[in-house]
Amino acid sequence: MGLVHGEEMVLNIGPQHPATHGVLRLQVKTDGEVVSQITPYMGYLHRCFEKHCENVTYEQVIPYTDRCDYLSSMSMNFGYVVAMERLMEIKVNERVEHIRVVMAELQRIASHLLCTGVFGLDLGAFTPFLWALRDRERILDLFEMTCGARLLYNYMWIGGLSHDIPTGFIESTLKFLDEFEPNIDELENILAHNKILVERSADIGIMPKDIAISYGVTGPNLRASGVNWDLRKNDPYSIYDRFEFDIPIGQGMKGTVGDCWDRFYVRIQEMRESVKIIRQAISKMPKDGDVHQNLPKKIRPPKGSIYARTETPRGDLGYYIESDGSAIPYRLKMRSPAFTALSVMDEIAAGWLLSDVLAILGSLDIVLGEIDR
Amino acid sequence: MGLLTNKFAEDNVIVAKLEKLLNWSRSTSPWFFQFGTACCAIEMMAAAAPRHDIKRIGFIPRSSPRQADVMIVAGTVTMKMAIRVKKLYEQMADPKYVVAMGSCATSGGPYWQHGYHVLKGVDIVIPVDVYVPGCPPRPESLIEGLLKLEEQILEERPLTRKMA
Amino acid sequence: MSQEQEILIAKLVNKGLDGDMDSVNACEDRIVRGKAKAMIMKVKKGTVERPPVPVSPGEESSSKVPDSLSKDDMIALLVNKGLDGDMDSVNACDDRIVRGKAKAMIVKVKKGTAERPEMPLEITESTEDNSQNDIKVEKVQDPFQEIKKMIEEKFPDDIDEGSEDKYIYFKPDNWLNIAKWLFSDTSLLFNSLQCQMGIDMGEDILESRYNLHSMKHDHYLEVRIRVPRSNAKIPSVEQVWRIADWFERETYDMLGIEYSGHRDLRRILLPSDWEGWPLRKDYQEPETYHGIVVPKMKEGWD
Repeated sequence: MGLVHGEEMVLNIGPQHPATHGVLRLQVKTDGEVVSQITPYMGYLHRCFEKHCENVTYEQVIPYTDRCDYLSSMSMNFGYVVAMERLMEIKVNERVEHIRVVMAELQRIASHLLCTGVFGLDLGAFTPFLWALRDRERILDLFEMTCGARLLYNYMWIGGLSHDIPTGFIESTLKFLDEFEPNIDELENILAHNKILVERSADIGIMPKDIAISYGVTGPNLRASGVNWDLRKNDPYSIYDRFEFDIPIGQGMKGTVGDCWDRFYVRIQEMRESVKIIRQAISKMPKDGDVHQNLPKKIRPPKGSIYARTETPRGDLGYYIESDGSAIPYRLKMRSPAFTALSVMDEIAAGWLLSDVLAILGSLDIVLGEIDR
Repeated sequence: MGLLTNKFAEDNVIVAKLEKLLNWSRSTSPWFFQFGTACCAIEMMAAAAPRHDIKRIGFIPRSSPRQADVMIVAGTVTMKMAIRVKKLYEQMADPKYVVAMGSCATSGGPYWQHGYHVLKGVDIVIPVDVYVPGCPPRPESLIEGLLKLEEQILEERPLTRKMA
Repeated sequence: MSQEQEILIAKLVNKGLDGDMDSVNACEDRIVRGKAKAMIMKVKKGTVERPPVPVSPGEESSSKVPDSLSKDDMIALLVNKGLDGDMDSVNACDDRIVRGKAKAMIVKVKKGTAERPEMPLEITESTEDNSQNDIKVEKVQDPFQEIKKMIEEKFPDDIDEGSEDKYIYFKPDNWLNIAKWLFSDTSLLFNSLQCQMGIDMGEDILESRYNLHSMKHDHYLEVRIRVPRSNAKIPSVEQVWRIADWFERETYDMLGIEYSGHRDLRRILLPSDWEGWPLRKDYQEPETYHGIVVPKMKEGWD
């Protein structure tokens, strides 16, 4: 952007591009290599989730919520089940609560592993992607041991769970955690402190605090901008207030607070905190208890509405459920965290080079299934 | 080469049908065009990951349709995307094959009943060779589907003049 | 710390140590809740002794059930308490059979298949005394009522009918000014729009609902605006909360509510040449779209 001004060129990135973010189209207006405006176009994966929810019963909604954010389907189920249990005033027993926390935190580790691997892949580092996928496969083995599915589980039901954890699950999980903790350090050393990655992501795509809050950005993206806000601590649901864990906040170690490197590093630190939570939850888990004990015979919530939020790996997920007293929801709206994260793209990516746009998109960690629903 | 080493005492000439030779060379390394839209795309990535590794059977992922032989349609195709799918299929060079992975690409999947924006099966817009059912199909199912595609390629007859 | 707050904290700490964290979390006052939780942590660690259960005549006996009743009378008492809204005492009953029968009867009375039983005579006098104390405690801890009072003082004309305990209905005309005031007033400071959605309530009414949250004061508010289907126009608040830009586009896409003042109101999820508003209750799927058949052809099976 100097003395020579050329014509503005309009480029399309997508809707099919080799990164795993899905089908998204970014219309980029560039002046040479420098980007002046980005407009995201979505809707290529709009699968009419909300219309389906108005036509099936409350239990049948759970598999549809799985498929919205397919990288963290346990968290999607968890959010819906927390909202429904608040609406119907059902209290589940202690064993169910502890198992839910273990599953949600394992899912958080799996999702962050994929996100960090793909961030490296977008910037050209292929090996850490394979290491991340290798560890993720071990977590998917644990899930498969419990409920039989690798990716879309339909595990958390309203009032309980679909299957109890089998014998050998706790030993396998503890063994996995023992072998996984040094792998986080290895991944951090090869990626986070790597000179090329630092050059390509530090000081780029800075998101200031007030823009983040006004655009509704939540989760690791907001914490990387310096705001200490985590729903597990500030507005606890389930039994998260019994565990001790820290909230990693972006500090601008390699550049400014709120740049791509901070968003990436906060996720690596969150994996360590999740390991802590899983260990505490396993040690406090009651040995007996029936996971099908509090399942209601008929799910007919009272007339009314509720809005409940939970913390998924991408931010805070909200479900607004309006019920008219029958067995089928009247209206269900899912407020997805990736939708708000994508909306801030124009603000933070304008003015950078074209190759930085992909780094910024990768650091926001979006999943198109959740945005388009 | 493994089958033929140290088998013959003198120099020799091998006689085979040309079609069989062409089919054999084409079927063992079809490069696939990774067209992943939704959840099945993650299982396709997991199939290329170290545990299930489809690169060892010859399938290498390519990002551009011009360089690919097989298009694996993994995930739900919507009306907005259907037009682009057709364009991508037309950009691939002959001979080309399509694998419909997952129940959404086969017939609309769990969204068949009230999904106004979902294409009920990708075979409405492009011709499909192999259907791999599942929601999502395990990487092992995908590998079986791809090996079936290889068997199909082995039985083709590209050189014979076709009647009508 | 007032006397009432100290008593409440002691009560919540005892409940929490007995395993019932829900009543601690349900407490509206943030300071009391925070202090109760801190004290629970300290007691668990062992640095502080467990406080004695406070004996204040009003609140204590209203949630306990005296043991000197017969089983039928106990069930009748619990059913009456449950129908009046106090499910805590029903859940607190130790006898599983009595609890189960009481809950089943509550469901039947609500459905209308059984009559509400009479309250056993011994208890009626003391519950009358306790009810006044309960109301007094609730009023102090309910931030929604205070917010509602402030809104009523500032914008009395704009409140529409139907405002209940958790949400407020506004008229659409002055909504932008109200939103600016909600965002900037120092005691409210609603700086985060959590969720905005549209809903088709039937009978020719469309609603647009906003869930607001203040990160500094940690209070919530739900705002609803009602418009008729024939004239569905609401002022846009995208200048106040920037995320309203995309939320409103999505509501326009799905339901057809127009937001006046929005700088770029067009479809966001569906293609721009799609016809109809899908989430309306009377939506009919189109037969074809660009030559592609939309509904699934299912000859032979339903």
